[in-house]
Amino acid sequence: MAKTGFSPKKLMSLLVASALLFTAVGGCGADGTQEPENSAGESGTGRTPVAALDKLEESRSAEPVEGGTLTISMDKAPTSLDPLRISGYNAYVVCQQLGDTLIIHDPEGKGEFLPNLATSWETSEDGLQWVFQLRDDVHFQKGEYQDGRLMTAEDVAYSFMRNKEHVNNTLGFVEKVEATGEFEVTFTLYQPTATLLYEITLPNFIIVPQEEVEGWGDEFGAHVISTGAFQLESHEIDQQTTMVRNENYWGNRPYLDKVVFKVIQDANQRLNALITGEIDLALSLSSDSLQQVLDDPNLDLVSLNKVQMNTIAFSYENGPTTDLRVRQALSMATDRQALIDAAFADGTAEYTKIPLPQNSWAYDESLQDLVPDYDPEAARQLLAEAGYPDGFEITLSYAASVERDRIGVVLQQLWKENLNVDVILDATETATYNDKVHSGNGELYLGGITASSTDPAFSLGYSFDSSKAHASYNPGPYINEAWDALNLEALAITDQAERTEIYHQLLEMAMEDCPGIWFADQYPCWGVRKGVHMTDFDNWFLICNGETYNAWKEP
Amino acid sequence: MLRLVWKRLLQLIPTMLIVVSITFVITRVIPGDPVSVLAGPEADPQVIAELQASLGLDKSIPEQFVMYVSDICRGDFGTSLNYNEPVFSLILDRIPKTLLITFTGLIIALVGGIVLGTVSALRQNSIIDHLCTFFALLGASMPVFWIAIMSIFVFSVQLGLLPVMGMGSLDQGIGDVASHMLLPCLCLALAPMATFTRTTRSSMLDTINNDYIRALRARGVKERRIIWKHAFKNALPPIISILGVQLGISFSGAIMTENIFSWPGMGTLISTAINTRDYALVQGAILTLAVVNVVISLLMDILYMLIQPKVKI
Repeated sequence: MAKTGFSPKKLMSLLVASALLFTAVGGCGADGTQEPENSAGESGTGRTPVAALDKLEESRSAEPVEGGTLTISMDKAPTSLDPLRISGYNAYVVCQQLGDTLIIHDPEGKGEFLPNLATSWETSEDGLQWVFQLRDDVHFQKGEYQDGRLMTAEDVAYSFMRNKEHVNNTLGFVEKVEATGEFEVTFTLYQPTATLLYEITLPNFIIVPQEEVEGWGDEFGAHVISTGAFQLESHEIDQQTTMVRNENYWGNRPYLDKVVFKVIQDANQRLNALITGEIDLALSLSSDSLQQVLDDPNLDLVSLNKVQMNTIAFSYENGPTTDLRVRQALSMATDRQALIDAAFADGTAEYTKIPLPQNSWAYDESLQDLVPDYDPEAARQLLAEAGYPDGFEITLSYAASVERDRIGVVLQQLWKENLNVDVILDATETATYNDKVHSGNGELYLGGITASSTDPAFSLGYSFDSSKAHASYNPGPYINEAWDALNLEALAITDQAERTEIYHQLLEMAMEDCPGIWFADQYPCWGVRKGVHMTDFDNWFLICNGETYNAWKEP
Repeated sequence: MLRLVWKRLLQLIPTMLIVVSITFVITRVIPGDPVSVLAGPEADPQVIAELQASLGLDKSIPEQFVMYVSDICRGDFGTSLNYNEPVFSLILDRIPKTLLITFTGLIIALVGGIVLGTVSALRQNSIIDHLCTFFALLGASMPVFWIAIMSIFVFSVQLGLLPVMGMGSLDQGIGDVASHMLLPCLCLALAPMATFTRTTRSSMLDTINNDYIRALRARGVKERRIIWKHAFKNALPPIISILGVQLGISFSGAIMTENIFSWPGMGTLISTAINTRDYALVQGAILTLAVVNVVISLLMDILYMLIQPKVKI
């Protein structure tokens, strides 16, 4: 029997109580679900795109130090690093460090391009031929099948044509790429295309030597050799990718000895590893983690000059949204600001009503007037006219995430209150959601696309393109031949002012039909440990590239 | 004995066939297919159709099943679409890493459970006994992912003692890998340790109250000798059979734990395979787990026979 003064029962309840306390205290610290407090007035750790520029200034003024390892987390492992096979942001970021593209984006996102492997380029009168002059001092990294030989125009032609023959090729408008001199390549196009320059800044088009590709065969994806500032040391899938300084790099000598990309699948764990210093930079943090990054004195939050457009797309195939008046009513019954407040950390998303990102060079504030404001009264009337005075039931499909769950709940409340419309939330994991989009089985699709450039061709231009029907760009799908024709026209012109004009017409045309509800331009944010100095946080994240970019880390 | 082994190994064949058929059907029935994951949500439908054809996924499902089974019979588990590597070599690479944490975790659980269980049996109804009972209740009822998150929060983030994730590298010494292993192993150990504690306690109580123990005590045999030599040996069989069950369970527990700690074993492999709808890999991995489970239960039966020769199977 117990010989102690108090009964086992008492002891038990004491222990249970303390365990519960532990849960409560630990619980809210670890997943940080508390709503961000009023932090609008908080100091300049920054959470708008401006932060990227502040960072730029700061790193220019500090004195760089050579050495060190930069460790970066990502949520998924790129399974192959072969530029032919890469897809998804992680693979792009990794691949971009290993090789160089012919040209790169300007850091400010003005839609201009800077020389990289190519020193200059010009186009023929009819826009069908583009001639690039190449640097004559670029060598490949030393590999198994070649000894760091000079890169020539033949290699550039080989790399592009290899891509063109692949099923995923994005160069459908290019007829051929050929070497027209030792250091001169010529692109021949089927039709003039304004986005050619953007396309070739993608990491899919880093230059690779034929000997290595053919030597490694199927294993090239784990042994990529290219021209970049860092050379691949090891690629352990689901663990980490390690790269070391390329001593023979043609551009800046990289300050960093090593760059390591670690795979951390769990979002909370990415934040934990950043807090403990196991990583220096965390990609793709959840919006709940962002406030914790802001509060930590050792961490900075940096947002990219890149917009993710958040949309609720209407189905043109199923349910009541096939009626224009219903679509308009639902749009008018949606308080977009309420959705933003519920889902995104302060300052990481901007209010919008249109599918043209606010950092695009074609953006104009007045375009927002193309979509009517929040007006529940008018919405109710419109819905009654459409034959639904008592509302209806509709399913909202999305790939589950904390942010989208909250958006779904707020939407349920708003539409129930304003229109007596019942929203059924259909949250599934990504593969199932993709399947729904591809097969056109949903009624409302909550999702979004990332505008990979400030060029509207990659945001607005994709959103209503009938060739993107049933892809996440255009799930509805909105199909309009006149729109497609005008969109093609915009691609064939190179003058920015003229193109802007056409994109405004395209936007007006699409908005008349109300194909969806655009509600937030979201800026993806990265957590960075203090003491890490990037030259810039651009669209693509360049650690060391050419003569412009060179990151370093305080010891 | 040999006959038993042969019989069990023969039984593997129908087991494998059933497992293969069930996983084949389940992977095909759930929505989503590997191609739409591979090509990404932004891919054009035309690209998707081309990819589907190139992977043979446009064939009818019975056709695909016949192809898959005949491949397996020839020892070919197929190629993972996501990793672009043979399924068999992927699994061979991952299994040792999972075994490393599951076995270490189980050894911790077994040793800890036996000690705690014996102590609480000997001091029945004392405060130590109640603490152990409470611990067993806690360990059995706390989900493994919760323990993992809490232990990371306390030991890594707050105290900064242990790494948050990953496996470390042998290049940096065995200590690096050991420190990375500690938290996942403890998380995996907690639930089975609770079970072992409870089992040891009740089994020990049963034996201790037997007449022959009383007789030994009366003869003045040392208490320590009575406990470990006589009582413990007789209390062992139930613990062994629980061990077999726990081995199988800790494999599935590893899926959760590995994902939280980014441990590159079978668990992360399976969850990635499921998320990417990597059919061949899901099937191969599940089949491997099934085989491992059958082999474990066979080994347990043999062990059982060795400890208690009167048991004939």
